[in-house]
Amino acid sequence: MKKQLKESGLSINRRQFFSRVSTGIGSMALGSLLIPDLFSKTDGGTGGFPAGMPHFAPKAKRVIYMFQSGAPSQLESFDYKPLLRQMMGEDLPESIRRGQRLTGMTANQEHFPLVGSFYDFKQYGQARAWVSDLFPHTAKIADEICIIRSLYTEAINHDPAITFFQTGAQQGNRPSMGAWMSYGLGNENQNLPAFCVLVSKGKGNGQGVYSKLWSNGFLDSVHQGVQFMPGSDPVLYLGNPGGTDKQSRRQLLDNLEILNQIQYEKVGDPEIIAKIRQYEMAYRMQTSVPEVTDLSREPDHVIKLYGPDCLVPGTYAANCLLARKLAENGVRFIQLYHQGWDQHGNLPDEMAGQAKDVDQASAALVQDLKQRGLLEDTLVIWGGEFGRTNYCQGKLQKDKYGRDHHPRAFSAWLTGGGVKSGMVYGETDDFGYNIVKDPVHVHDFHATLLHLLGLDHEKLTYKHLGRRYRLTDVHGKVVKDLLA
Amino acid sequence: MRLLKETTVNLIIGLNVFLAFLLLFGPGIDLPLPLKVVGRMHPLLLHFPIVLLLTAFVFEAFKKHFPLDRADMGKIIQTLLLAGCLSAAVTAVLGLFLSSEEGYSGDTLQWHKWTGTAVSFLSPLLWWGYTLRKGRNILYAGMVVVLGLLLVAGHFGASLTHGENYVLAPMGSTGKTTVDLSEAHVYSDLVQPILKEKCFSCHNPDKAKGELVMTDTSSFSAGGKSGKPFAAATFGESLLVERLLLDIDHEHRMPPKGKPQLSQTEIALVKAWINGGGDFTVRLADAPDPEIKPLASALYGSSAENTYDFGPANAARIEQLNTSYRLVAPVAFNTPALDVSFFNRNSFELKSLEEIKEIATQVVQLNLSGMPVGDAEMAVVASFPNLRRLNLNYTGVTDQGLAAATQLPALRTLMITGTEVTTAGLTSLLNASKLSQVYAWNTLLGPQEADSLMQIHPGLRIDSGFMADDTTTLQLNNPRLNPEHIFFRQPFALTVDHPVAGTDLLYTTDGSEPDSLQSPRFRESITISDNTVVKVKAVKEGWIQSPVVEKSYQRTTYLPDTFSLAHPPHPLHKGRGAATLFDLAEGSTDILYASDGKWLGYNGQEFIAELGFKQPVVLKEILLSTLLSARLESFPPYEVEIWGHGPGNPPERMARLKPEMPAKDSKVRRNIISCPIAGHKPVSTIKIIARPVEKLPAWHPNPGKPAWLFIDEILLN
Repeated sequence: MKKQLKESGLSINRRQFFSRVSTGIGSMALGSLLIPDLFSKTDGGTGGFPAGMPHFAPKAKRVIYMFQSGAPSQLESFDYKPLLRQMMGEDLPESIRRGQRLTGMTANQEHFPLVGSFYDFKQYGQARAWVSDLFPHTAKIADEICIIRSLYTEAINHDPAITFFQTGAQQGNRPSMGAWMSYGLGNENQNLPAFCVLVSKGKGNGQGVYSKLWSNGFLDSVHQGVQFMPGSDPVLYLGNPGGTDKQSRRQLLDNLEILNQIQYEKVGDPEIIAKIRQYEMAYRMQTSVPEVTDLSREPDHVIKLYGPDCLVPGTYAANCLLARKLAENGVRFIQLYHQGWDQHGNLPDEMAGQAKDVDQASAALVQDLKQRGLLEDTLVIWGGEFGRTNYCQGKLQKDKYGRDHHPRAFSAWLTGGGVKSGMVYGETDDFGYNIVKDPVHVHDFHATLLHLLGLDHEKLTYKHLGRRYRLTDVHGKVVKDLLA
Repeated sequence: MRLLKETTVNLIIGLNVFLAFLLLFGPGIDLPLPLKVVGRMHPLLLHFPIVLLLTAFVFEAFKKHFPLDRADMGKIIQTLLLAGCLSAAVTAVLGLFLSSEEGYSGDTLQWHKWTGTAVSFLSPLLWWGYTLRKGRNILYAGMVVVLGLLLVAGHFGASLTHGENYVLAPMGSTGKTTVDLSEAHVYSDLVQPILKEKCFSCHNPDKAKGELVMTDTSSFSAGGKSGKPFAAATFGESLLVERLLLDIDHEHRMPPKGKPQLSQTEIALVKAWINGGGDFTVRLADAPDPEIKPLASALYGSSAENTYDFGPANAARIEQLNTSYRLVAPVAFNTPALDVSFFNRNSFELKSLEEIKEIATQVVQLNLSGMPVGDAEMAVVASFPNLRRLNLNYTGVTDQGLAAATQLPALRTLMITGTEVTTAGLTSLLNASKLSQVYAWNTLLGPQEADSLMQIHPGLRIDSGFMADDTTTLQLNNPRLNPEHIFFRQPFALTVDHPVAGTDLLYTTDGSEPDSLQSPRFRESITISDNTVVKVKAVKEGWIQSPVVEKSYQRTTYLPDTFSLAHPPHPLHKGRGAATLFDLAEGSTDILYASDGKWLGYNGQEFIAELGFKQPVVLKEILLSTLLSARLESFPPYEVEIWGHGPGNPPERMARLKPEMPAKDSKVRRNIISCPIAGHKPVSTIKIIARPVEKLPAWHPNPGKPAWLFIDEILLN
């Protein structure tokens, strides 16, 4: 790599050199104004860190993100609001709503009848955390996890909100979190992609997830997420085409490398070297992927831990088990999506089904990582893209109601790798509508995540179209109170 | 103009006399309230003398370079000087008013007061000298003196407002200081740095807001105007904690709104210290409050975790040691410590471990998880003197190999999940090492043994993980029937399997419920040649049996040679057109919007299909497979008509029926509507008309709306 850098440095011509020198002096002065600690003793400033290495000692080496796509209701999971039951059917007071925007789906409703959780809550663990009866297994690991009840986001509809969570921007075309981490920390295992994606689908009302969510954006294409599919061909286009055996594949790659090498010596484009490496990695993945996706050798008590569905490829439970195996094998960022959490109607029924899909396996993954000593350096996250309203969408019945999108307050939980365990952070008002204590913005959440991985979110940058980009753009504060 | 100038001069003289008077008798005078308000204008006005005087000096120094004649230039400079003198005098007087408020004292204030006064006294002299137009050199010297005084006064003023060393602070180290927690004193090493950062700027001997000085312990504990910061040993009465926890908008909240706040952890640490008696000399190791230790390590980090007393390895060598199956990487930027991991079992050999012995000093983490590691490899592992964390999960390590780990003095964390290590092996290792965390799930070590080992070794945690026992009974999930489609034309072999190994699959084909006494166990396959209802459930010891899976296989005999639809289906549910009706694939009843591409949907329009046969056929029964779901507003057709004609037969109605309508609480299901054919005549063309319900019934949530009709297959027998 160093050699290539040197060579590409030599190819800078005289004109480019002078134009850089002249801007250099000015930008140094400007830089010292914009980046206050540019000349201070502690840091080398932006770009002072090499990519592919933590900036400081990390607490976590990898992330498993169990994304609950569609936005699970916080009011039936972790944010206990008894007042909503008492005031069932009464209108949401204007003093609470304060003219906040609503989606087009409920903005024209004449009334906003408050609706309490159909499910009961109990307190668990040393933090006496409230967890609803829908999540009995999660309740059991209450002492391991840190529940945040005060997340908030800027988007009110699914696609921009998921995109915001994944990439730090609502419009797309930015690198996904996993891509940033692959860029910032590099590969651990050279035989698997640093960023893997697993998608499953519940029976509840769902929203699509698209490959743009695990895009590398403007980063190099090596950082793109690789989706693992259920079935005989987990990674698409990885297997040899019909009629090709391993031997001839090897030969083909060797010859291709010679050609690529010639081309590289001619034009000196480092992307060519990247391409050679990609081919080599794909070749090694032909053996490593079947090994890691084989779930048949898991002992019976592991199956009982995750539930028998973990042996049915494509289910959430199977993806959780696979996520643990990928984590064991040194994958940096494992992104799960479980669809079906968009309960605009029939919430009690649908949410029960969704919770049954994910509860046992999510808790099992935490326990399984812990008993192997992997939870120490693996950060596990569970949550959706926003919350749901405290008022009912459509007709209100006691056991049949819906909730619309609510970006102003929602819950998620984290555990492992440097996160304080057995803790509840943040608070909403008695109506569960506004945050009253310790708000955590999506940018803050990203900053904290990167911090746990040993990366300074203000220093992990990539220059594109003339400016430096970050996952947190120009925002974000590390939430120190969450750190163990 | 002249009058204005004279008034100004007189005003300046007057103010300076007043200033001298205040300096002589000031301490004895109690200021009236309005003057206090005026005094607070000092921080605003002080900018005027600085800028005006400075501008005058700069104009004087560069006056030759201005495109103005000498006289004009002189007038401008004079005016600037005069205005500077006036503002200097006013600022000085107001400054003295302000200093009489509580909270200002000390050396910094004295310096600021006297340099400021000097500026006020000297600058009129400078102006006077300037108007005389004599003694240029003396004048310039005077300017330099006033300029110096101005800067010194400004600097001390800034120190008073923003705290000592405000200007230069960002140049100093901003990094978090790590403290050796084993030696640390609670107050001086942990609490005081927080107070220093967040409180000292307003509570120091120079600026003691609320008469509280926190910089030395005796005046800190003596307290200020409102009382002592904390009383004897009761946290509930601590004024300090109370102020820290007040609402941010509260008048008495400390630090006040707009100033840097203490974090929750910092508040908790201060609280815990006061809780434990607020002792200024107690060491962390002896601190009475148990909460204080985790808080301290959260704030100041454990120094042992991040510092290393060895130098870095050769970077080029590290790069060479990285292969596709071995990762050698620094733990973080700028640390010599290395983290080594091995991947891919088949490419691991003893040599790959021996090769990293040359960087043995730097390796602090070693991950051998899943590698074929035996006793020979463990002998190599023993040669890493600084190894702190060793992952041996799912390796071949036994007690014998583990004994080598006793030679690792720095080892703190050990993972031996899934190995054959026994209690005896671990016990002898624990006796010879300083391990603090062991992960021993799925080994020969049980939870009781782990508990007793933890009692013998305080400070040690053993995680023995989750082992299913007899009380963990779960329900088996559904068995899977292959093929998945329920419609067929040719007899086929049905197979059933289950994801969990070792289950028994009980089945019936006569519609009765399978049970473990009478029903046969599924062997290889059964042949289905006619309409059959298959019911299967899975059973296994230690598990709750699975739900019964029911599939109703339906035979269709004829495939029409041509088929077409008179009206296209609704664009949201168009499937693959008419072909969808004869592809043997059934639509799912388990989805929300009938959107799996296997249903054809009609809303407000008749379904009319025309089928053609090259060879005339005799039909006995035609079946329409429809979806019944009140939620999707999907109902059976209100009326079905079938027409047909064949060679020699004119078109004739072969069937007409009104299917039964669902009741209010009917479940979502497939509703197969059977239409018996009258006449049994050979036909070559048939036309199937199905009319959707025009108005949903009154019990439906949307009464009066037109119902949907979903069809996925037409069966011809």
